[in-house]
Amino acid sequence: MIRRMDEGIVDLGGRIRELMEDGYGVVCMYATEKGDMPRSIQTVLRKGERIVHITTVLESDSYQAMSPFIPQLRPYERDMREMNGLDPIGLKRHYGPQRLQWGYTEAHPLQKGELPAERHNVPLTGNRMSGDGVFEIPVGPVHAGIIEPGHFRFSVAGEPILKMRTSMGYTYRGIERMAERPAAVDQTRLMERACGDTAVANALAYAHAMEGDTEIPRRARLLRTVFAELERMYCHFGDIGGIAMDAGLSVPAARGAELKEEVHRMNAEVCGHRFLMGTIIPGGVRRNIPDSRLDLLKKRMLRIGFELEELVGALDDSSLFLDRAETTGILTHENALRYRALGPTARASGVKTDVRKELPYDAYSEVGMRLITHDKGDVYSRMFVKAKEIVESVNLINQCLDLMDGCVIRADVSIADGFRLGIVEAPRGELVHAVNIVNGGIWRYRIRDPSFINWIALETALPGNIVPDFPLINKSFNLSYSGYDL
Amino acid sequence: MYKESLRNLISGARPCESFETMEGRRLNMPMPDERCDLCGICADACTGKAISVDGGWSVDLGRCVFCRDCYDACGYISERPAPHYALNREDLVFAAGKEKDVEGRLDDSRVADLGNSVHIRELDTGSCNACEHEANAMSNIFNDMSRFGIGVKASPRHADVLLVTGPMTRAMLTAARKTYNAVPDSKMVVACGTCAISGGPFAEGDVVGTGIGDTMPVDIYVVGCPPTPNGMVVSFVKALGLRH
Ligand code: SF4
Repeated sequence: MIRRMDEGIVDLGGRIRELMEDGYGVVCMYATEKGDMPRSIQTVLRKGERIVHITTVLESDSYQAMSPFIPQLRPYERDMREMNGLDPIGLKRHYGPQRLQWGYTEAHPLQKGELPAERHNVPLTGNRMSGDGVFEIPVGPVHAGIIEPGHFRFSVAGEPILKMRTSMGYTYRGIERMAERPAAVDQTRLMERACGDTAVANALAYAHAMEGDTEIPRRARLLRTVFAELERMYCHFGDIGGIAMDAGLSVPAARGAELKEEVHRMNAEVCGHRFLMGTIIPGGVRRNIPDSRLDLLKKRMLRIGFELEELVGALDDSSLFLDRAETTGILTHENALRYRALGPTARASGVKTDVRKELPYDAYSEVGMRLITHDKGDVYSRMFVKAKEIVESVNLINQCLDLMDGCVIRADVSIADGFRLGIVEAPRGELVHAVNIVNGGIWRYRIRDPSFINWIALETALPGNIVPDFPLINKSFNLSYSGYDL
Repeated sequence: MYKESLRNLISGARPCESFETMEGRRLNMPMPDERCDLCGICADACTGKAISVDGGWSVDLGRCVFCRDCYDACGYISERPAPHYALNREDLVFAAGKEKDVEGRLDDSRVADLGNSVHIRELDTGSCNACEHEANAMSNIFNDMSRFGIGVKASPRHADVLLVTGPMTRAMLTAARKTYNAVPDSKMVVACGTCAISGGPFAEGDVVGTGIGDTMPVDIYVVGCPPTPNGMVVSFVKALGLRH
């Protein structure tokens, strides 16, 4: 990892634009509070394996708005406004999902010290469409299915959706604030539960941030890769089953759920937890897969590969499914780049992005993998990419199992002060944990879940589609609410 | 795939697991053997502060996140099958060496209206979404909850049982109260998972009290972080006395 630190740039927006012309993209941006550290905006940009970290010290609570000319920054500016109270000068209204459901009258949730008890509701503002025959359909926070809470407003004219507004923050538990503890305290438990189905990726990002340059034993690196891929497999199986379900095909849907359950059971068998929680720890892994179990795992992988083929074949052969999935919910290549969409969502729109390839961590540099892309950006593309990624995961796991050797699974970690970064590819895309450690304590912990960006991508993919297609499109993006809210 | 489904249909064979198998597959809880001298290593290793050594060893399954750190910390602790659920919060505290059966059945007066079916409305009050995945898995072909008469309803007005996950965040409070009030009377509330029971890892975050018990009365506590789908189904069947 190559890092460059720049301090005290006055024209942050201009600098970011320069770097973006050079091919960089904004990975993460957040504000830090005054105290042990000056009040500042921290920006991390990445191009392939090159990482730039910019610290901009702020004199006051405001800065020149950047999102009007850098659309990627929309969610970040909103986040800094709602969580830290930084005012972007010149921004008329915030775009993107609302971050919080309530606000303090005189404070912001990430400010240091005791927070006042008094709060008020944050109403959903801005961007409402009006006109003859335009109606607004409110949905949520309690939805019809078994999913997480979030509130949507669809502006519709007849069946087609003109615009969607999203209001999040129902699952806000204050994880970033809770994480501000002494750096030596192991917080894997909390990080895993930032988003339950991305437990391994979150724990990995946390571990990478804490480890810095510590040498991780080889077996631990291989095992981490296996765990991360197992997680990707069950997430993607769940998505494929869910897409089939929302398209009204119950046999493939049941099959998807069955395969997902099988991966869960395999997880429980090889390391004791169905969601692989408690497997990763800074410095290595906590659970070993004994050599005697490796063969078993390999055999299962083979079977899962076959069954997946059958499942995808059944969907491909169904004209009913293709009718629903093709040309539905198109995220154009331009929009994917404009908002820097991440993960399978972006890859389905033809963007070649994958942290595993660009910035190989753990054992990804030792194994070969293909980058799966598709060019249509519709529901079918996203399903296609996810299905093919499962095949890749099977390959990756097999390669890792072949390479497995050694017996040490854990190294000692000493945590130094400074800026720490962990970037991994979660099943939903690039996941970033950025940490500022001052005097042995975590001053600011920032988790940037891929859903943080992809919610905006979903908003741009909707207009023109009909309301009954929303569940299908939503499922194909499969965004996390808890990862967004934290 | 279709061929196989058709074959199952014709043969009448169900791919799902028997109730006994589902009941037998349990999470594990820690339990020390007689060598334990209450040194407190396990209590220090427990991030969820579920283990206590003051006045005898005990573990609170309402706080345990089943991470197994205590086994790693102390060789005297071994695995013991945990209950799927309990009807009282106190029943979830297990002292060393004491076996007890906490998987009781709700009062007949509570379940009399149910007949042999029960309909669930799921309510997420800030969970990490692993519990949602497991709640969805209740209906997969292994667990197949509909054979016991358990179904999921889209509206709280059609539901008998509120299945609540998550530690009750402040933002969900109003929506949760409204949902609770919308369920017709003689309703039951199930606290599903560690964070619904006690706040779990989020107890000191932006949540209301400790778990959902401070907001609505809880009838069944389903153990686990997340609980297993078979555990959830078994809890419903046994606590509500459904036919199996
Ligand atoms: S009980 Fe555990 S798995 Fe379930 S929502 Fe809470 S933290 Fe997540």
